[in-house]
Amino acid sequence: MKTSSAQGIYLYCIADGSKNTSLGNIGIEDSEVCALAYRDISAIVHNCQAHPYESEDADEVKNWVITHQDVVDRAWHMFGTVLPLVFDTIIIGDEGADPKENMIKWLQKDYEKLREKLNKVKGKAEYGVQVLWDPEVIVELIARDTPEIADLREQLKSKPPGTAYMYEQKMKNLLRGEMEKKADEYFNEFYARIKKEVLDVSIGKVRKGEDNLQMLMNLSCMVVTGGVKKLGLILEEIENEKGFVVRFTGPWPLYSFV
Amino acid sequence: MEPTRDAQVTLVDLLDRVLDKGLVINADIIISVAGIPLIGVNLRAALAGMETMVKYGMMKTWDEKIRGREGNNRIDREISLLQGEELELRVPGSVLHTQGIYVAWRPGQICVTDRRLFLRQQEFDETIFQTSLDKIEKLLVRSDTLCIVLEDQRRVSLRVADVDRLAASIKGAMKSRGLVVDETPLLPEYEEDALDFLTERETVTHKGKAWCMVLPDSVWRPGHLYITNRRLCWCYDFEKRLAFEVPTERILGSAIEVRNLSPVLKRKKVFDVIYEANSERKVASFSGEKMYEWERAVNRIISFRERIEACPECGKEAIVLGLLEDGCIHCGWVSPRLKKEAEEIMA
Repeated sequence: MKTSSAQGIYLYCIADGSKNTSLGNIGIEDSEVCALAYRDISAIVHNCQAHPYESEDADEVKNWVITHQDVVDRAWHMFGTVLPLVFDTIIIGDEGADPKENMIKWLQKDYEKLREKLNKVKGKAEYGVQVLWDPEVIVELIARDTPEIADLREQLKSKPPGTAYMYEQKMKNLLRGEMEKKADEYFNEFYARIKKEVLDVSIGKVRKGEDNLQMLMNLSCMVVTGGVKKLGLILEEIENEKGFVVRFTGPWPLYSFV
Repeated sequence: MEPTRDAQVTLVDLLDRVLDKGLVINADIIISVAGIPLIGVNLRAALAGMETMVKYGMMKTWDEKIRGREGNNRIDREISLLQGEELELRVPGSVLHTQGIYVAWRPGQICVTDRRLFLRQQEFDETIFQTSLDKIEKLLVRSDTLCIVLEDQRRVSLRVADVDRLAASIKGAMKSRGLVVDETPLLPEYEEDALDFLTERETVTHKGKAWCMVLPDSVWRPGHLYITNRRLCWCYDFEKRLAFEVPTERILGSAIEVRNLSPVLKRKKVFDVIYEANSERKVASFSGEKMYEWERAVNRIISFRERIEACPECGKEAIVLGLLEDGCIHCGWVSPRLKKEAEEIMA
C-alpha cells in the first residue's frame, strides 16, 4: 500500500492467516487490492475516497458487486477461510488521519469476535437453494384434485360473458386459497428434507422467478466443504416432481451466516 | 444435482448476498452505512420487479393487503335475486342519493342482472336504488361517473372503480333482452358541477338555492347554500366564490322568522344561523325555499354533536362525535372510516 493520501479503506473480507501482500489490480475500478495483517488475521482492502460507491446505473453497480465477489473469491482460495463483508463497507480516518489507524484499532477491538467467527466458518461453504414452481402446472393439478374447482370450470363454459366473469373471479379466489395451502405444505416438506442434510439453513425472501415461474423458497445452506452430495440428491428428487424447478448455486463464502 | 457458480445463472443470487448479507461493522469508523441499502434497493427494483405476481396469489406478504380489504368488505353475503334471475355483474360502488336538500353518495354493491340494475346495501339489508332494465333510456359515462336517464326522466348517477365495465355490462344485459340504449350525450347539465372549494375528504351533505344577506351593505344576493361534513357555506352565484363559511362546530343554533327582505320582498321566511366567531355571537341570514329543511339539517348537526351513544365494542357511553373522531377512550375501538383513513395515510 503506497499512498497514504486516500481517506478511506474499502473492506472486502477478513481472511484467516497473516499476509502483507498485494493481490494485484483486481479491485473495484481496477484499484490495487492488498492484504493487511493483524496478528493471525488479515483484512483484504483497497484504498479509496471517503465516499461510498453509489450509482443510478444498475449495470455499473452490478459490475462493482461482481468485482467485490471476485476479490472475496480470490482471497478465499488464497487463505482458505474468509468472512465476507457487505458491499460498500468503507473505513474512514479521524479528521485527516490515516484510515489505516482506524482499521487496526477496529481489528484490535474486535479481534476475539472475528477469530471466533473465522473458526466457526472454517471448512464450510454456503449454497443457495431456490425452489420454484410453474403455477400453470400446479393450477392444473389443483383443479384436477379439487372437485369444487373442476365443477366451476365446467359451468363456466356455458355462461354468458358477464356471468362467466363472476364465475372466473370465484374460481380464481378458490384457486388462490388452494395454491397458498399447497405452497405452505410444500415449503414445510422440502424444508424438513433439506434441513436434515445440511449444518444450518437461513431462510431468505422469495423473489420474482423468471420464465413465469414462482419462487416457493429461497434458502442458504451451510455445508461442510465438499459435503454437498446428499443435498444434491434431495434437490434432484424435488426437481423430479411435476411442476418444480430447483436452482442450486455455490459454493459461496458464508455470507448468510456471519 | 450439482451446484453452479456460473455467473449467468447466479447473478441474482450473488447480488442478494453481496448487497444484503455479509459481515456488517457497527462502528463510527464506517462511512454512512445509509448509502448501502439504497444501492441495494434500486438495484433490486431493477432486477426483481414484483409485477403481476399476485395473479395466483402465492406471494402472501404482497397479497395480504388486497385480501385484507376484500375480507373487510362484507361482500361475501349472497345477494338475493328473483326467481330465475341471473346475476351478471356485482361490484362495489355508490349512487348519488338526493332527497330535498339532502345529498350523499351512498355506497353498496351495484348489481346487474338479466332484468334489473340495483344498488344493494348489504350491511343494512337495504336496496337503495333499483330499476328494471327496460326503464333505462340513456347511459352516459362521465369520467368516473355513470349517468343514467330513466324513462320518467329521473337521473341516476353511479360511481364504481371501473365505470366502463359497468356500462358495458348494463348494455350487454339490455341487448340480450332486445332493449336499445340511447348513448347520445344529450344529458341536461349535470348537477354535480365541480365544487372547487371542497377540501380533501370534504363531502357535501346538503345543497340548495338560497339568498344570503351580505354585509356590509345588507343586500340580499342569490347563491347556493351547502352543508358539508365540515362546514356550512354559501357560494355567491355571480362571482362563483365562497362568500360565507362557518365550521359546523361553531354553529350555536338556528331559527326561522318571517321578515321583510326589502320594500319589494315582503314577508319572507328567513333562516338565521347563529354562530361563534372571535368569541362573539354572529348571525348569518338566508332566505329562499325549503328553509325549514335547512333548519332541521342544522339542528340535526347540533343535536348529533351532543348525542350520547354506547361504544359498539365495550358498551361504555360516550359522546358520539368523540367516539367517531377519536375512538373509544375505554377500549380503543376505532370507527371503520377512521381506520380506512389511517390506512390511506400510511399507504
